[in-house]
Amino acid sequence: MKDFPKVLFERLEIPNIHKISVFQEHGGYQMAKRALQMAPEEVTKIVTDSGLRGRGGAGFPTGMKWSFVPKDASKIKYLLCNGDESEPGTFKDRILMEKMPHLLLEGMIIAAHAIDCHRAYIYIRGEFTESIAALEKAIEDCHTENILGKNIFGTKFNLEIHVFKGAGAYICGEETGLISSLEGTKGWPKVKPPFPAIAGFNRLPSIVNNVETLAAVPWILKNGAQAYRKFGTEKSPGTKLFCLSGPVKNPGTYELPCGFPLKDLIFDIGGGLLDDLNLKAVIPGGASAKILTAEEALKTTLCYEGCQTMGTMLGSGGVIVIPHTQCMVDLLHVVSYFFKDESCGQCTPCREGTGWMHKIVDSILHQRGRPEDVQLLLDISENIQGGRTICALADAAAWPVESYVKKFKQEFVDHIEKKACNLYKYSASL
Amino acid sequence: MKVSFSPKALKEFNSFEGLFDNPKSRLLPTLHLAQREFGHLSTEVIDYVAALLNLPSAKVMQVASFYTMLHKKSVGKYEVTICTNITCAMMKSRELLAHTLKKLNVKEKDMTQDKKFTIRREECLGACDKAPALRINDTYYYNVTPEKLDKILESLPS
Amino acid sequence: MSEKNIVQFEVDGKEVQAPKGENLLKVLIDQKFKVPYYCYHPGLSVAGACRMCFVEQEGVPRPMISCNMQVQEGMKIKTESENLKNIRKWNLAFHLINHPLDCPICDQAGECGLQDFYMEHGQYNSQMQEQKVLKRKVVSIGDHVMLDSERCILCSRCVRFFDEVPKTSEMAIFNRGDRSEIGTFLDRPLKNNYTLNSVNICPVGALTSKDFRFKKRVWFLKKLNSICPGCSTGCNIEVHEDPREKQVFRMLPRYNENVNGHWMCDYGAMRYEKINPKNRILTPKLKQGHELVPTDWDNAQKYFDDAMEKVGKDLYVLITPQYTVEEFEHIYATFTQKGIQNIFHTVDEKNIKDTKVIDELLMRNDKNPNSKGLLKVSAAHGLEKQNLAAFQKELETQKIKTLVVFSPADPDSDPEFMNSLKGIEAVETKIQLGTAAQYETLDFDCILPTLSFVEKAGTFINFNDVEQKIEAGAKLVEDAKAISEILC
Repeated sequence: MKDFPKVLFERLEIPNIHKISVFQEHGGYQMAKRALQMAPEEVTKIVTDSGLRGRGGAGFPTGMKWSFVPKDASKIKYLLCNGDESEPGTFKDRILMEKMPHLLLEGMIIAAHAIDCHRAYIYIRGEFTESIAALEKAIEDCHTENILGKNIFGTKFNLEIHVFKGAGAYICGEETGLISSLEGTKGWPKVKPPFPAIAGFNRLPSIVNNVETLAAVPWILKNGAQAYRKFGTEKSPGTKLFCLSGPVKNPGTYELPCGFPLKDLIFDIGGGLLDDLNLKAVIPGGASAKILTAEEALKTTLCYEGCQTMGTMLGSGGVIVIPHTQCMVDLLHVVSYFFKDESCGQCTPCREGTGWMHKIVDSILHQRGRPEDVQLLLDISENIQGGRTICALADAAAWPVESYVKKFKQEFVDHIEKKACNLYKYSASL
Repeated sequence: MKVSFSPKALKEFNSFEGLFDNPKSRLLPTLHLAQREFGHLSTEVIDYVAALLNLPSAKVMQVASFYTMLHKKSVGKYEVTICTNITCAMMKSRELLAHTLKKLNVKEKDMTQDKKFTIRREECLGACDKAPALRINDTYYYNVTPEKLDKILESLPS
Repeated sequence: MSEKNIVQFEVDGKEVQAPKGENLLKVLIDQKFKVPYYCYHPGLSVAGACRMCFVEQEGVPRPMISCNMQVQEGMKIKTESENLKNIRKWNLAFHLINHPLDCPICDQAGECGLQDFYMEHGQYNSQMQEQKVLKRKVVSIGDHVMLDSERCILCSRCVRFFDEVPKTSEMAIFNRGDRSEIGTFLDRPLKNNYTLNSVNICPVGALTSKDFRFKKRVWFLKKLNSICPGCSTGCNIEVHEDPREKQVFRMLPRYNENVNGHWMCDYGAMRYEKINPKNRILTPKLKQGHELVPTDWDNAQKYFDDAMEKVGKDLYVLITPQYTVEEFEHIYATFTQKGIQNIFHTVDEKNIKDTKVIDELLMRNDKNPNSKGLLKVSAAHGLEKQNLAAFQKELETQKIKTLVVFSPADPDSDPEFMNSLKGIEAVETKIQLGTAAQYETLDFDCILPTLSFVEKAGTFINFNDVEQKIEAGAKLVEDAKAISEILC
């Protein structure tokens, strides 16, 4: 693997890098200062040219999103950092927030300047106590050093950043669900159009960016768009944080250039599976991503287009390794429960469909399934996705059902025909 | 019985106003604060928060009932939330949950007799590389086995 | 309207015109296209939650919900296609998988959104074989409203209604996912004057009227367009009655852009009780000794005619503002032609001046539907100054020989009515024409049943001088007669 710069984890190993003084000693906030000397459009152009894509899961080009904000100086604009990391299999934003809070803040200052925002929020899921504490302290220290507040760095730019604590709802990681939660209501996503860049938080232009996305911005500003494009792939430039979990020797978060072969992440960096376990399947991008069989996983490259070619998605980069001892019906039981639990309940296909799908999988798992259930699961999953709902949680719930049933159909059929499943040994009822 | 914020909590509540352009945004931070103050969001607390924010009680309850971290009934001194999502489940966290419920002789989400513990399942906690993961109140615990958890629970002061 | 404000576009190949920026679903509904919907309501904000109203637009890859679209010049919309059929069928199925099979005991049957759209867009065999989500049923949430949260399809119309119309925000959706439940906080009763509107807009039997509960299957009801007699606002209403049973069962609001929008108040909605037979004067009655004895119209009419002839010009008349303009005109014309001038009305000047709303939205202080009408007719005969105060002065003189009273149709409108006739004992002959059984008292010598507002056609004039028509429905009381028949 050729050398590539660590855009995000460059300074991770430096002791006390979460402290403002140490961060500044190592070049911290230099790019924020530089950005404030540039015109906002210049900043946006660099980010657009770099090809940086949203790292929360959707992969939308970041610079393009910023450019959607209307240039109306009279309107208040908001920058909302999405720290509601809840996609199962994902734990990268947490590391950035806990260990490198200042890198995130620096990225936010640059982004805020680009979109003319003077009040920004970091929405952090309520369970991340340490991330919340780290960022609150970091913000406090920034205020002391005149890096946040009024006339930062002695310029005319004012910026306040506040931490907003979530309270346990996956749907608040959806752009407009996050906005609804911030507005003091349930985290119900909003009907689109209008889109957040036009009418978001308090009906004003708002940009929602993932933690990792914003944390990449300082490096891009320092080294330039072309430098960022030098590694990764053409459609997925730069690096990404990948979270490897499951029964492997070296689970953890790894920064890798996009396009990195999935098999190398699992077997080289990850050290392969534990004990005598063989690879059965891989979830490449968090629970929402369609599952890959072992054969498919060996051919997959970790970039947006690479995963798309294999019929799945890069998503949040949460790579979960499934061993041969895992019953796929049981795994789908866990995943379908998650979506049923987290569906906000606002629109009918998702609210009812996620519950129904889980109940069917539950019946199949506990040998109460019927022959028609396999096709029924496929039919339900087909009819809740593709724009039928207010937000994409329904699609995220449908993709696992669709892919697990299609690719591991025999296991489902076996459960229905009441053959003993020697993989499913767990019997306590949950 | 009427509830109200202590002077310290009231001070924190008042600080919320300066954080937002829209006063309605204060609701979730206020509910977090109320839960810290009062233990859980009982009817009286919901009505109190509603009066403080000049919101209908139904709307406050609507938000309180939506989020899993907000409790409408009493929770034990230690809330143990065990992740039962993908990787943790593969690493036997569901067995861990069943074991703990059996050991403490309590149903999921109920309080133990001595009011010390409430045990429940949780969705992904963002610690999959250290599965099984769980939280006890605000603290994360990693790579937890049944034996390990038994020890931890025993060591927690009543 | 200027040309620029109308746009022209195409739906299913048909040319359609609509005001610029109008909600597309609203236009499709008004133009009678068959697009199903639950959560949309023209009087409320858009929710986009039910996902039933999908349409296809040329040039757009995916179908979109029409309730979140505005009409645009030249847009080409399709409301029928194989894809849309399939979407509607599945979205309907999702609405039904946890819905209880309550049709046999549910009041909504016959006017239920699920039944109706299933017949139009469903017609599939259910594949749901799992245990349904169970929720609470028969939950009282107010004087008028019963909640069944299992039947609820979570369209959120009621929540939005209470947020946006009376603005009391008493309802909410608690929890999340398929455990979501609609209701009030801790079942606290709804406390506003508009709770029945939520029952009306609920597309299913989740919110039902306690008053109407289990009383009548809706397909037996005949509808009448009328005006609410509850106050001077004159909300446009539909009266639902069963002509065979001779009973009105409920009154619902009817849309009028200028008067009441889509709504009416609970007080108004309950006015129908007053005109059902059990609260009505059923036969003519004559006082004999210490009793009011029922009699037939021959006797009663003779008594009345004799009394009129005997008293001649010295007759006193008292009219309450609860009759139609046509009835007032007949009364004033007939009496003044005979030279009778002592015609008094009970219109309260204060009510004419103070027309502000006294509740959350529509109700006014004047609990009479036709004060303006009565004032107008009395003025046409130069008798507008002869009001209740003037009548009471006359009563005090004890010189009144014969009095004809047109009593209030609704005793609630004027609880002090009989008290305001203190001294009436001194009048020799007291005749009442009216409808309310409450006034069948020994204060009167002759009581003649007349028609209620649902049994006659006519005009009410509201507080704002708007003239509105009421329609005649079935006769509820056999022996009730039109005023024009009694008074000739």
